[in-house]
Amino acid sequence: MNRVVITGMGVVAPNGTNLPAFTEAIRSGRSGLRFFQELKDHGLGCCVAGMPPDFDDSRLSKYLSPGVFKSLRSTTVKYALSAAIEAWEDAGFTIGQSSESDPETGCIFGNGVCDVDHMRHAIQFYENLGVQKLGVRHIEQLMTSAASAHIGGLIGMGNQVTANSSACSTGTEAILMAFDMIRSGRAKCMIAGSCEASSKYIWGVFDAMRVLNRNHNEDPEGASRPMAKDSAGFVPGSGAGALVLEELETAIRRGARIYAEIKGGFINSGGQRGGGTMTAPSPDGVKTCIKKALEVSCVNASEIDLVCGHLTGTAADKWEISCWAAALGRRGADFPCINTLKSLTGHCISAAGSIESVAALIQLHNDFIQPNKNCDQIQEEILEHIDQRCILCEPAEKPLNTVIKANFGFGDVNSCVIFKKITN
Amino acid sequence: MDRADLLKELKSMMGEYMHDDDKPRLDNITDQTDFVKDLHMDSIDLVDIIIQVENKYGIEIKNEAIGKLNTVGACLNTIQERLAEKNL
Repeated sequence: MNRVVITGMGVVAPNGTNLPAFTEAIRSGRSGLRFFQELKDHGLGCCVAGMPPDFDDSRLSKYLSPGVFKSLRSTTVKYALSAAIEAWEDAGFTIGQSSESDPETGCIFGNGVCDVDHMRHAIQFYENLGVQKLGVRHIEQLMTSAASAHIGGLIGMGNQVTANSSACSTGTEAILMAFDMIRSGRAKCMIAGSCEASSKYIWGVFDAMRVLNRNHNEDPEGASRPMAKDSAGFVPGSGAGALVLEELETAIRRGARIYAEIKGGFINSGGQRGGGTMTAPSPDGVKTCIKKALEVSCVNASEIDLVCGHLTGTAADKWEISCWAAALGRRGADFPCINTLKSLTGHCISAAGSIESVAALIQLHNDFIQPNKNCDQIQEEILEHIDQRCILCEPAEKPLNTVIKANFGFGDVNSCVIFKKITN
Repeated sequence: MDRADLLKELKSMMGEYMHDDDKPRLDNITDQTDFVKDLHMDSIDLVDIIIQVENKYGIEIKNEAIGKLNTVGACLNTIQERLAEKNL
């Protein structure tokens, strides 16, 4: 089996629309959450959200044909392309130089739904002006594989190019699927990632489910409160994260900078049994996923230096912590440090897994721990399992060797991945 | 409509779908110029241009005809034929 490493990363997040800005934001604990009048005007109870600030799509014109760029409306695709281009160039590759496709390179880039705002635009156009005037470039932006198709064509990928979809687990799942492709020798290099458009229609659906925090519209940066006593729901976010996964030997041969090795991971479902439902994870399913991730990675729970949790700011946080403690077999002060990017970005839904994995890898590579914002007062049920000192509220410099990352999604689906600093 | 005027209109539409590096090629266009091979256009963009032409001149170009419009000359001929039919 081949060893697999990360050699490039790209990100479009609510608190930073490129890798340097995002790194600075998570190092300092800067929030990207803001109040949006438009959400209020549409009657949402939660009017705070995470939208990539000042996202400039004009730079995409450098990479796309004029016809594609002119017609590109899908924010899903724009975020994905931007993150993927950054990741590819961050890995030391260039775009558009070869006229032939590379059979060893592919892409798995997921999303939860197609770009709903673009779908609405197309339907309105269809109904008001007629189908014959729609134009030709809608399907390529509306299909589930829109992001991966654009990325694959841009780079000239000749291996598998596809999209996965597993709700909030999508990004982490994409990384593990791409990992399997390289590990098993079916590809040498893959871009893995996920994306989520900034859509009041999607956010509104969650608002209608009463799972968003409606209590902090006057204090946007205080609205995402995972693990806090007064957490009252999550805050929706958006963006994209992209990672370049590469066979270790290939990466070494070309002298690539290596962020970390993927030791392994696991994808499973709780089957919506044993407490699991369409919207709530089964504790047994979550614990199994974490335990199996450790087992297949040949990593001992005692080696884990940092847990990058799913932790959304809902009632599920305390159950998630109890699962981590049980699965790792570490409790109280023995539990490793744990954090959640969502306190700074909100819950980027299907983009969460990839953006949060980029954050996890930045911390691992640079030996620091991103602070948990807004959780000075931690839920007592959480402190029954782990010590308060595991939940840092201030940025901390700390040597890190092994980080575990998990995400859980609607449908009772789980993904857990383990990143480790590269060793000889 | 005069063929030269039609070509001018078509070139203006085509320019929106071409890379800046390729646009000078529009200056040397002939009836034999191939949209994909010579002008490096995406064939799907040509369909978009046809839709614009249809809307602008109130004509309809059949699907089976669109697939054969590979060159500038073929495109101009078809548009002129449809315009002539419309004005009968």
